[in-house]
Amino acid sequence: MFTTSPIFKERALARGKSIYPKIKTFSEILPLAGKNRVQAGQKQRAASSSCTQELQALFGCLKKWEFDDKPCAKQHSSYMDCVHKGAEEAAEYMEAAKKGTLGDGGSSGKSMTSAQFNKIMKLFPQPDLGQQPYRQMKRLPTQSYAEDTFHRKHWAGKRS
Amino acid sequence: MALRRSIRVCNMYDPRVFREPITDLKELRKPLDKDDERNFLFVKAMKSDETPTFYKDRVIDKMIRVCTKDGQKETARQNVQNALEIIKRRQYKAWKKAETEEERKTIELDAFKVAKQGIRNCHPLMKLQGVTRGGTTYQVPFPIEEPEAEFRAMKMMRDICRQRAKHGETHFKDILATELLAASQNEGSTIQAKQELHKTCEANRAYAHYRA
Amino acid sequence: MIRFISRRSIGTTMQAASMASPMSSNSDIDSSSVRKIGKALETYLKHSKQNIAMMEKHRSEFETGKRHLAKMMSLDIHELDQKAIDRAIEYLFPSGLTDPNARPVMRPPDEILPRFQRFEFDEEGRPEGSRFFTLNPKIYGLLSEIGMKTQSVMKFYDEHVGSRNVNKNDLDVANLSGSQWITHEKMKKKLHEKFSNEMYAQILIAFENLAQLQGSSIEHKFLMEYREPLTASTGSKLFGPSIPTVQICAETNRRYAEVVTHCKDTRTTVRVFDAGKGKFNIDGIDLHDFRHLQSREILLAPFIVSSTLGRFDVNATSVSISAETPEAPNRIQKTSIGGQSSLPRAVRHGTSLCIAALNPECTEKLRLSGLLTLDPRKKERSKVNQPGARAKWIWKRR
Repeated sequence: MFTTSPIFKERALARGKSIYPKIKTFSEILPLAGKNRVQAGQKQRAASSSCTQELQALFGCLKKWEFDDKPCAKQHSSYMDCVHKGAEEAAEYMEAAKKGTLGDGGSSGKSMTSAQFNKIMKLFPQPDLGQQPYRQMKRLPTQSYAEDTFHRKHWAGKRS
Repeated sequence: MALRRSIRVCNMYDPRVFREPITDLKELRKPLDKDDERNFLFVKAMKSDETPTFYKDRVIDKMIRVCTKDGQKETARQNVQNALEIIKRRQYKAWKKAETEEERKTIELDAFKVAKQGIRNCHPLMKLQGVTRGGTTYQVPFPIEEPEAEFRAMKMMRDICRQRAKHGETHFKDILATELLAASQNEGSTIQAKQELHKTCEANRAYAHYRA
Repeated sequence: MIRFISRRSIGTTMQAASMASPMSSNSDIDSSSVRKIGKALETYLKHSKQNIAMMEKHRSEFETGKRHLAKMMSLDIHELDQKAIDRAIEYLFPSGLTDPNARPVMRPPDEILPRFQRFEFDEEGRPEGSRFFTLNPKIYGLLSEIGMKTQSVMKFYDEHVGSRNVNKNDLDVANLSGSQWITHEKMKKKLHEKFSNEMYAQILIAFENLAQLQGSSIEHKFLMEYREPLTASTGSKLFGPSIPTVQICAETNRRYAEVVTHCKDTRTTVRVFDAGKGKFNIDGIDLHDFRHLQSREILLAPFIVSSTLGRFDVNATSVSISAETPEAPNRIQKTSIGGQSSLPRAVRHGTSLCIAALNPECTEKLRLSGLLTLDPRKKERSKVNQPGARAKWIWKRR
């Protein structure tokens, strides 16, 4: 340690770095709270079942009868019923998602749609959620005081 | 990828004031419902091929429309109607040839019914549609509704008949008659094509979850 | 005397005093109170008096003019109604001006002169109703009425939903199909008040909100006051030419009807005779000379629908519409009339109109089957840089 440390120390100092471990402190720039709005990232979609079971049954039947569809009318009709039901549910879900109707009916899924969430957040907004820009500074901590390329000196904001 | 999903509809009939006409004679005889919007709005003009003649048939009319090429509907109509005539003649011949009464009963003499049964037998259960996921296009089996299944059956039959009639050995009407007769017995190349489609769908069933 | 009144020029003479100027409706307030309220009221009173005097003068002039006109046209003064006056003016002062507003008219002054806006006042000379200070009392009155109705509809629905002792149709959304909100101009006329486009939009928003509520059918009557039917402009349920009148042929003594219609580029004059044998004569061509089965079907369609096969004779002559339009340079004149589809369709429309005239019982049947409707469809023009109306050139990388 004794022999090596000054070398390392010099090297480290030459690089302009401190040899002591970095101390990180937490400062709350944004309030630790969820925002009042979420954006719909993806297209809202109902958790639709792709009627796999019915489809498997249909294909099994088709294979059994060498792809003749006459004996498989029952399987086909059950598959189509499933598809229709799924389409109906999806349409209902889309309607509810578009309108953002609260309560049950339509959105019988486990999670809320973003429209519904936004509606609730509008009714009960987060308290003390600041406004952008949350912390405006005249000078970034890494900048020297002399350097004022963007005329930050004249901005309204914290001196930092 | 998807440029524009919605289609701009440009219609000479203002959709706010025009409603569809009633072209069925039986329905025309009934008094109109009191709340019907046609009581106080305009009715669209009757289409050219919707004249309520006694021999009008929805399926056959659709078949004619499917068989139309380059806007020559009259030619297509003659082809289809001649095919129906050929079916009638063949069935009648078979009926005359039949010896016992039971044999005669099994032979359907109405050409319209034969054709409709043939087309009905050709309805496919699914269709294959390309779905692009991660740069690769998969042929995914999709379920289809009745009208589309009907259309696809007709299209398959038309394509097969056109293919065969291409070299001019036989006429389109003859081939169509043969095909319709065979299809009504659940055999023939259209039925084979349908089964081929089912086979492909079965092979691609692993992609079914891409349907969304 | 007949006065030439241009509806545009009058406006400035009788402009209402500034909106804030109050006045009394029965201008009998003693002079002391007038002085107290100030100059605005004085001005208003003056304008009002002037207006009353002017209207009186115009009215008497109109009456005198009417008497003179009756003498000139050798009519009795009592049978000279507005229609007769219009006809007389058109006869006496033929005008080639295209804008109808620029032509001479003679109408009662109350109809033609701008209205003088009067306000209600209480005894002390203050305007009645607090909405006076909004500058648009009628509009805000309507808005608040809509608001109140909205409240009551919502309350009604909340109270009665699910209960048995209520008419179920009352809980529905009002059925407003086939009608639209009246235009800005009509609304102005209806309320006798000027207001901005933005205000009109506000009213429409309020109306739309009320109309889409569950249970708004209880306010159906109120909503329909501010709506007009979409087809009101035509005045009939038929799109295109109306049903002709029945005439009687002088030679053969048969009833017939004649009508002119068109389809695409073909204009036809169709004459249908009663008590016929089902003969067709379309530019000298019989029914059986049409090559296509479909065109024969089209020609017979009105007879099939009205079940009058073989009862009427049809005579039709046709011309090409574009052949009649003035010739454009660099353009070959099209002279051919329609072929296997448009000529029969034009004849079909004319025939069914004539059948409806000769046999009025089957009018409704023909209308519902769409035979009395003029087909407005036309060939769409092809666009620049495109092979067709909608078709695009195939995209090619290079």
